[in-house]
Amino acid sequence: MTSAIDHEALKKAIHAASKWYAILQSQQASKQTKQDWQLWLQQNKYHRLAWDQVQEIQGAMSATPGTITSTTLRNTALSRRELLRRLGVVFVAIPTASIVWHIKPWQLD
Amino acid sequence: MSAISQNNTSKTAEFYIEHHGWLQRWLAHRLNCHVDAEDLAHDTFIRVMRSRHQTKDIRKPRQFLITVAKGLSIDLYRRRTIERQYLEALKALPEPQWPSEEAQAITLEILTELDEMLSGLGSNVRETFLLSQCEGLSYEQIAKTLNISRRSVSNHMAKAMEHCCLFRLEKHLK
Repeated sequence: MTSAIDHEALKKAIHAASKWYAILQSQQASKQTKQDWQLWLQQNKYHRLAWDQVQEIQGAMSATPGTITSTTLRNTALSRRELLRRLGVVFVAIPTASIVWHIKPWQLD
Repeated sequence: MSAISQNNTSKTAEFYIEHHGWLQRWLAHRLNCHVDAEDLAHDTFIRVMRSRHQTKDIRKPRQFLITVAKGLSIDLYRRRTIERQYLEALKALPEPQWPSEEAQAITLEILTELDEMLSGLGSNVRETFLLSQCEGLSYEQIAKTLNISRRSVSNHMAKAMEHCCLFRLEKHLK
């Protein structure tokens, strides 16, 4: 992505694209709705960029036979809870942790 | 550049000597595994020493090292758990349908990213997304399964997708 991208505009477009995704994924969208979506998509480059993101995520979710992906992700989430409990992490709250040091973890690479 | 230069090599060594022991014991106690604790303590110091910052600048070394170590532990266990769960899930397929080793490695990468992405979602939102996107259930079926309204299913879908897109966006901006 280039610096010429307005991230606020992209975030707004992602919000709209996600709503379109929910409508289309319901498989009950009318012909008219699909035409509206096409119009929205052609409106500007942010809409297209946002929709590309949606498609990439859909692609990642369906790269493997569906139930394998969902079963793996479901069971992984369950066993992670045990690890977080052992490490004393109630939930992953990185922003508040940054108060205790002045080197942020994401600057470590 | 590396924090390890001639001037502060001894400072770094002091830092290591002062903190390595307790960090490894802390990890061993929490993870209940000495081998993992040893590896993760080592990786934590490598991570800290390779950073551009000097160890003397770390104001609260214990909290700092624990936070880095926790992050690395989560990464390691995330990968391991995903691999274990993936191989377990593959057993549901007849063996001739198993993907090649290479395809499995790529899938594990994708699954790791998905897991990271979805871990920030509430359980109903996440489950809705998986049932629709991976298992192809209709919104009506999902509403019935999770005992929520069809409208909630639609809202959850939009929320999950937006979260995933923003997650990737933030990650690529870093």
